[in-house]
Amino acid sequence: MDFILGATITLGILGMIFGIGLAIASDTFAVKVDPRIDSINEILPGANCGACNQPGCNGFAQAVVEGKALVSDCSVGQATVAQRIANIMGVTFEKRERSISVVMCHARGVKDKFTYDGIKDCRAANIIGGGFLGCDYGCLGFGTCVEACKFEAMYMGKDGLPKVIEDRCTGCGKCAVVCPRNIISMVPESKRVHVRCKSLDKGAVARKTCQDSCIACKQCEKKCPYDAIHVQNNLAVIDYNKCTSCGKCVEVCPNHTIINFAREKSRSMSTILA
Amino acid sequence: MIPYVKSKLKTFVGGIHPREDGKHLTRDTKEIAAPLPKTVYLLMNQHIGAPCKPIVKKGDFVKKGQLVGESQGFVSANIHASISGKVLDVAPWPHPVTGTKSPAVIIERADDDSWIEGADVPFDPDQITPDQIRQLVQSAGIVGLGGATFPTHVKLTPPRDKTIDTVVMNGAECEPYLTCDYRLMLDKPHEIIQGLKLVMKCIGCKNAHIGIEANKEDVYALFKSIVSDEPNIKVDLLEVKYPQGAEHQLIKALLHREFKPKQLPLEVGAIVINVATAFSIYEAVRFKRPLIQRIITVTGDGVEKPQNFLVRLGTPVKSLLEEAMASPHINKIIFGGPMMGIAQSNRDTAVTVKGTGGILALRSAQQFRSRACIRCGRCIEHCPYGLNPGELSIQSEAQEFNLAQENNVMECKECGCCTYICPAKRPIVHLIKFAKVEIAKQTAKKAASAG
Ligand code: SF4
Ligand code: SF4
Repeated sequence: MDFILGATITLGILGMIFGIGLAIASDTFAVKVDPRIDSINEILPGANCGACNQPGCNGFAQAVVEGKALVSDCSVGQATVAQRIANIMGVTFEKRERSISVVMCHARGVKDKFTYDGIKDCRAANIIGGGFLGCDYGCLGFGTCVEACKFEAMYMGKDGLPKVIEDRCTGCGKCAVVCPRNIISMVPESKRVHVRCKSLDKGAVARKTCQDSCIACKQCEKKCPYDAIHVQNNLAVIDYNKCTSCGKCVEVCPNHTIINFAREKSRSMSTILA
Repeated sequence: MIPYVKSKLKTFVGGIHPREDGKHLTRDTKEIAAPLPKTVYLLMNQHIGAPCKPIVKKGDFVKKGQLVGESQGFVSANIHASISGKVLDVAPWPHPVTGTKSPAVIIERADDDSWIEGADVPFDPDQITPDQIRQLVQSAGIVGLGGATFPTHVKLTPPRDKTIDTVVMNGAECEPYLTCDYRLMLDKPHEIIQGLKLVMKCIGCKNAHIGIEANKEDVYALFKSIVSDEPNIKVDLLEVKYPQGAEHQLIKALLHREFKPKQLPLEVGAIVINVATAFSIYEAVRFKRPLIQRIITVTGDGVEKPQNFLVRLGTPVKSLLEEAMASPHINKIIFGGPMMGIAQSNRDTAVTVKGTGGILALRSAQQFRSRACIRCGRCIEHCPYGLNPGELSIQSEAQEFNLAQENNVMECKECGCCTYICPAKRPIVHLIKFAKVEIAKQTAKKAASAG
């Protein structure tokens, strides 16, 4: 009995001494963390997507406090989160328009150059013989962008092309980064008219490879009242700073390369729900 | 089959013995000049380094040997017209190696086939200075003809702080099916040795070592007799093993020097040149002939008459296949050998480039189902560069490219031994290439954001 009592008391005293030691050490050697980092961290979406170019949400919170990132840099959180971070930091911020991802390819009737039976990843496919697709610029269709999306905002459509569910897209831009053919662009949400082709081939060649390609006929250029669309290197390119999404170019495009997404969207949404 | 059993012949650790050799198909065919093509397509990037700038335009008349693509920067190589004729167009054309379109000068042949003035004049190589040699090699647009297509004048300009004590000449020709170097060594041994001596003179190096695989004993005897009174040029037989002709493996086998990771041949005091390169150096210095033709082995069971052809650069492959009587059952066309060659996607647009040593036409194109790695370790045993290919392939599959980089994925030379030997038929080289491309992209991005 004495034996147990002795051991308990000794251990108890030892524990107390160590406990006090630890308490003192943790206080004197404590790393001072700005409390704002924690409170910002709580607001952030916690997706760790890296769209802000920081190592995860915690890294972003730190960068904001250190002044290395803007409060509005979290594209996922958008204006609400930016506003709350701004409140913590005691700054004002400029409201930016949300960007969403747009797939700039509408390959139709493109034949394959060869049978590809390699790794099912667009990036890996693109390095074998310049990609198996008949068009050197078009979508390879393995859905590497869909896989990269952390917000389940993309899916592969029945036509073999990736589709964006705009309501879910946070504009993080991950899909645009992984696409080896740079088909995906991040475009302000309010811009609804897009040239869905990336082919730099001459008109005649492009027409042969794909039914929906830009053939560089310059009809759109002539029609545009705002001087916003120009054919460069055999491809019509929209200057989104000037474009008002009036849709005049859509009407004249003979190959239906330019699309007004305002109309497209409702259609594609209904197909998902159906 | 076990790689570390010492053979009496010189060799390196690792590597494979391909089951099918295929060299017998073309071994005994003396090379013949292929009929001049109607049109040639001269791609502007036939080398490693900056692509050339076309300096002719549509409608110009060019003569054989005329400069049509000017090299851009030091690591780049000139491109010359391989036939005389009219420039039909300067337009993008599919590149047989990258698969994407690159600018090309397209020339339609005229009747006369004479050299441009200034080329094809005999020149006495005895009085020549090292700088002149380098200059002639550079303007002739010579690149490594073993397949790597690295500009030769760059190799001939080693950094000042490095001393090169041995020039190694590669007469191994370890790729199955190819015999173009073998035929060249049989037919032009004196010229090749002259070329080798020019290289030695150019970099001021006293010793040379020639490596020849044991399946070419006739060439070995021939070379031995030619250099019998020159003790500083050694000739050695090498074990028949793939990739015996790769730079690192040749140096390991012949000079018994080992490499640290990332070391280049010149860092261990040697440079390696291929026999075909030596021959074109000789031609460039002795006759001022730019590089406009090379020997190409057209072989495989897809052609009735496998042959070695002397081919002008930019010749369409279709015409070569016709010449070798292609069967209608070809399923796969490969540029180069079966181990490292590049499969072609379009027979009609493929054209030869400087690095094309062989055209392999095969009837059967096998497809394999790849499975998960069974950790057998055979790839490790056979990788001549001492990598762990299986692990690298798994890391690449999991998109852990940084991890792969830490495990030296960039050291892989894509020789294909691992993929050949893997019982699970994993596409290891493809996965490694994938990782390399992604790492290169990341590095470029980092460099862009840093500067
Ligand atoms: S890892 Fe690279 S170098 Fe090693 S065997 Fe495979 S392909 Fe060759
Ligand atoms: S040879 Fe293939 S199965 Fe064996 S360890 Fe290497 S990758 Fe894995």
